[in-house]
Amino acid sequence: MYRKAVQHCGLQGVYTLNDNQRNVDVPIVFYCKATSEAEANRIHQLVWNQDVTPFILVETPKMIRLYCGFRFSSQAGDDRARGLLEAAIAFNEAAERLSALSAEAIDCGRVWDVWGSEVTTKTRVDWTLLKNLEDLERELRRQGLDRQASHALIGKFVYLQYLRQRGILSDRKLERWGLGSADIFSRQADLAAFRELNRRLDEWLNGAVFPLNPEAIKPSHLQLVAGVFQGDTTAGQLHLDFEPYDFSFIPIETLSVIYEQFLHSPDQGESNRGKKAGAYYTPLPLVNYVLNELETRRPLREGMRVLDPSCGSGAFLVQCYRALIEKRLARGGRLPTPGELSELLTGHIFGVDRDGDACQVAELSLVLTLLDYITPPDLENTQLFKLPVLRNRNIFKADFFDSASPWEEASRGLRFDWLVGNPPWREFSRGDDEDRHMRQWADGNRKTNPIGGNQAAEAFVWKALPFIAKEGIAGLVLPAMTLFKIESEQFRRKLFSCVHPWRLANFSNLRFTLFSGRSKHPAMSLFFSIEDKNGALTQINTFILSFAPFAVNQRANRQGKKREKDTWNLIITSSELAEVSQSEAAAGCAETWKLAMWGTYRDKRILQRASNRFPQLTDFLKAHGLTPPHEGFQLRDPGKSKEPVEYIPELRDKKKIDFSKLRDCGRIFAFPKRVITPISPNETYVRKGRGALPMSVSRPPHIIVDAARRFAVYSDHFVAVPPRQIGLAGSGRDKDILKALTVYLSSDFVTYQQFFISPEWGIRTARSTLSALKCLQTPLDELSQADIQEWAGLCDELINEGDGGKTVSPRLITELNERVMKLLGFTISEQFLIYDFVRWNMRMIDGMTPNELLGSPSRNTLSDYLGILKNELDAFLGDQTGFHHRVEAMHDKISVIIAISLTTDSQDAPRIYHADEEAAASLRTTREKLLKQHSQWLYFSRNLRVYANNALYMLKPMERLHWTNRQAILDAGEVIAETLGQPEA
Amino acid sequence: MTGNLDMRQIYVAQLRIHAHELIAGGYRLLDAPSFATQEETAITGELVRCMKEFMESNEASGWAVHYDIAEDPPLNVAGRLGKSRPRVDIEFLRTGAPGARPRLLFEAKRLQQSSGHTVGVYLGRDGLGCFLSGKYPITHGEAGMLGYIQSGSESEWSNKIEKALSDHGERYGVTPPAFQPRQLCSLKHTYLSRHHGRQGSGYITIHHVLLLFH
Repeated sequence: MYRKAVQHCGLQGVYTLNDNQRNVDVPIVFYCKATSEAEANRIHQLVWNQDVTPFILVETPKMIRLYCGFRFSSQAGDDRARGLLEAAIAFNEAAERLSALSAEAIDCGRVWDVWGSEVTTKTRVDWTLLKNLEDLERELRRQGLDRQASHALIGKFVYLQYLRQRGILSDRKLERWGLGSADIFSRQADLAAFRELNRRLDEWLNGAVFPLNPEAIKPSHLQLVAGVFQGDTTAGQLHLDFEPYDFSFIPIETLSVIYEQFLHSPDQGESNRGKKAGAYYTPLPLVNYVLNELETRRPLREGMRVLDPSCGSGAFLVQCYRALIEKRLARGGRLPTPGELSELLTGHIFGVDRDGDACQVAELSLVLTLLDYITPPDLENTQLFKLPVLRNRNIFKADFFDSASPWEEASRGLRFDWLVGNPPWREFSRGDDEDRHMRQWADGNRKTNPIGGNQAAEAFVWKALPFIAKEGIAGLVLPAMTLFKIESEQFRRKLFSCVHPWRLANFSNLRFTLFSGRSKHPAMSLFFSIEDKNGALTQINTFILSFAPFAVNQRANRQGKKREKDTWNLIITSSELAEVSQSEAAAGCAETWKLAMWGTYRDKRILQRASNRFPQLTDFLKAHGLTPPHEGFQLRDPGKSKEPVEYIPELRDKKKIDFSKLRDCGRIFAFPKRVITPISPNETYVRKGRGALPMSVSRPPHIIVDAARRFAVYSDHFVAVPPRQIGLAGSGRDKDILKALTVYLSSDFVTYQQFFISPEWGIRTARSTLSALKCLQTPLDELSQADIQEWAGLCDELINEGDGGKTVSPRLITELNERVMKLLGFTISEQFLIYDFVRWNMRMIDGMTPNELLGSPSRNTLSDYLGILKNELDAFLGDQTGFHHRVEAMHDKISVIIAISLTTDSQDAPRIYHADEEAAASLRTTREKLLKQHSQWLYFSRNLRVYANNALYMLKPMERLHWTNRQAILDAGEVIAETLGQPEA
Repeated sequence: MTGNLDMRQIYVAQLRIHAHELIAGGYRLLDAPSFATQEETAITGELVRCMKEFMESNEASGWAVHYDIAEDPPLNVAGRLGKSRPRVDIEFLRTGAPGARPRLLFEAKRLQQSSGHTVGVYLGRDGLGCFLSGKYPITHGEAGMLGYIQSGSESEWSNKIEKALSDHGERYGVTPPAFQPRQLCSLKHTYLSRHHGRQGSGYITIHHVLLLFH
């Protein structure tokens, strides 16, 4: 990529976000030199085609121009739409006008405040090209060409254009085949010449790519497509602009993904074929992340084999192949010969997919990668060289589970050093013939290889394991729900017991961005090696390093107002790392991963403590003779219901709650009148046999608990509990205890506890479950009868004040929470951890990045944080030592540096300085020094801690989220942990 | 005074004190005399359970959240894999953040003359010897020995241990003074000895905690 940009775009330098430790290198700015304005525009076009960097600075003899690397149009009206951000910057103005692109501004994140809104991924080359291809297809369809032929014709032309612009399909090559370029690449394209070219190409490149039915295509279709690719901007009623594309610059990997998406795009009225197959095309940042992680662990080198058992268009394989070539190039200092390139491919790269189109794209992409390294790429100077045949030697069109497939035969005895891929994420079907091999294999191996439900990805993991070599490693993209869903517990137990996982990246919080809206399923990457012959865990594998990036911390990729945005980079922030012991993972419990993502060891302790001390809700209710919790009615209109229904006479003339009107209601203690509606006579039916239990919890006195645990409402009236919502009930004499329970259920602790023990909440949904509520620790037995009455009185007060769904006063909410915390016996620190989690952390669910979290903290907030930090640290030392912590902070608009050292002065209070203050001179010097050493800490370590001169220095961003009381407690814990872990001086 | 205090050194001292406090807290919750004839593993199991209970109780100080206690954990030693890894009786380790985890290991031995649980065994290959020989890896030059006294008094046993260390200083690599009282927590019978490791691992400080179980 860089090499090409140096050769063709006058690239002089690149500013990147660089994390050597994790092999991460994200280009931010290309700095290029051009001899003219026209050349500058051409450079912009080429770099846009490369699709790698958000900003391009081009210096011309007269001035400097700033372009957006993700937007280009030759047609659009104004500069911005064309991707030109600053057209003319005189050299003497450059420092001022480009200050947001200085190294310092990039490092401190200011670049995104100034230019972030310009990094719109929808105008990137991949999305633009895909849209253009789909528009062109629509026009062909309008002109009578069927879908398959349209796909094949367009696909073929992308491919031809690519070969042409890369110089693979050179004039001399065409000439040798008796063809003229105008016969193919012009609006006068000739069908006979086109067919001949295809025949020749299929012969040369070992196989028909996008086979065409010659009879289906008319000259007008061909000429339309050829014309559009040559720059005709109108096609029928469409306005198309293919001129910006330079296929010699679009990375092969990008093209493969576009191809595959295009081929799988849905026909009108059809579901997406790719989606049906569970194929979510792996975004390149994710592919690169997986491969970087493997590379860090066991670098890919010659002699090692790579297998992708569900290779799709070959995104992983192409990158691996390229890496092998680049390593050879770096080692040998010369381009490998065609024969060597062929050997590198056939000896190392293997893939399987049952989708023939995908296999063809994978093969083509690999061959084109090979040709990328041959000069001239048309092979006219090396005519004896034959391109390798990959089909059924390296790329197998086969069902990975079919014991009679060509893959099964060819792979016998083969072992692989890298297992990579993104296996399909879907439930394999009982009735679908296409799934029969997987189904049979899974059914036959369920005991030894348990699978949650019929999840295909889990079956792939088991089936692929035996192919991993003894020293081999794996990096797989899997559905993140594998970690959380109850059905996969056995899978987790078995897998984490029999492999050595060393890293797990849980991308749940990026689910709206990672796949650019094509899929919203949460993803994870799991990295492991297989068990060695001793069945041993080595030291490095005792803990799994778990990483769960939050959208809010992806500084260079932070979402704007719209949540669905493309991902162009993926950065690991060390503050989002957690360790999970392998033995804990092997217990199969979903809570482990929930805590690893959202919680900390402190939350684990809080939950454990509550769990050890108090009975579960079901036991509490049973002991008090109250009705167990149950979900509400699924009311049915017998005229519309497809299921058998039964009439419930008691529902006549009763009320129900319309929960659809309670979307943004927050914590309420009484339902607004507008949501209480009569049950119509048609709705007095329920699914047969599903009436008794919902009825038992709908009778008063009862509590209706919201599925999302936003509220619990006590009622003395019959209200039909809605579906998915939960009801609890008792008799007339239980009113007080039910009211006390309502107070408890409305507390922050219950929200907190339910969040952590509900497998899908915060991962895929914003709901808890009935079983989570049943497991809720309930401390009300600690209350005396008088206490219960007091609590019931509080409930009445809340109901009165909250009548009609009104917001109740903070005073009452505080009283409610304080009562609950006191009853549970939580310390002040534990209370902070709980309150702030509910108030701040839970606002980040589903990748949300609310402004309140990102705004600057006030001085009071800083002061509170520092006070709590100091108290926590002092508590660790206790009163006996005579030592205390001195805590000083200095801040500007972007960051805060905190210095922590020891003192014997017990009265030493935390101090806050602004960066301008004279007294902050010493801290300012230290910060400058630290920033020099860790200039990109904001991206890679959002809570940087450095020890120097018997003090600890912390650098933190000036974002509210990092200055909560909870964070102060957690930071103190990390300071203690890290200080203890420091090597002896 | 400020600026020149070594944070790490003072924190590590706290780790040592906290481990002792946790032992004391757990021991207080035990019905010690009921273990007069129990095996060492049974006592250790119950002691660890009580230490954990103490950590979760309101009696525990705020610092307790920063620790984990493991019973019979396998230790990572170069060249030893899987089930062949050595196991120590009790491990105190800090929790809270990824990275290096300093830990304080305690090996436990019964002390009951009549059943052969002698000072020789306490200080022998499978007792103190585990630390001196390098069988158990230690993170910061410190480890501990727990003596479960099932006959006689703490003073009798501390005298015997002191004598053995003094008489056979070379065998145990003792650096004088051989065995000194060092009260680190509410427990009265806590002592300290210093040794040089046999595998060139520098000095090792051993904390001895004698607990009465009869």
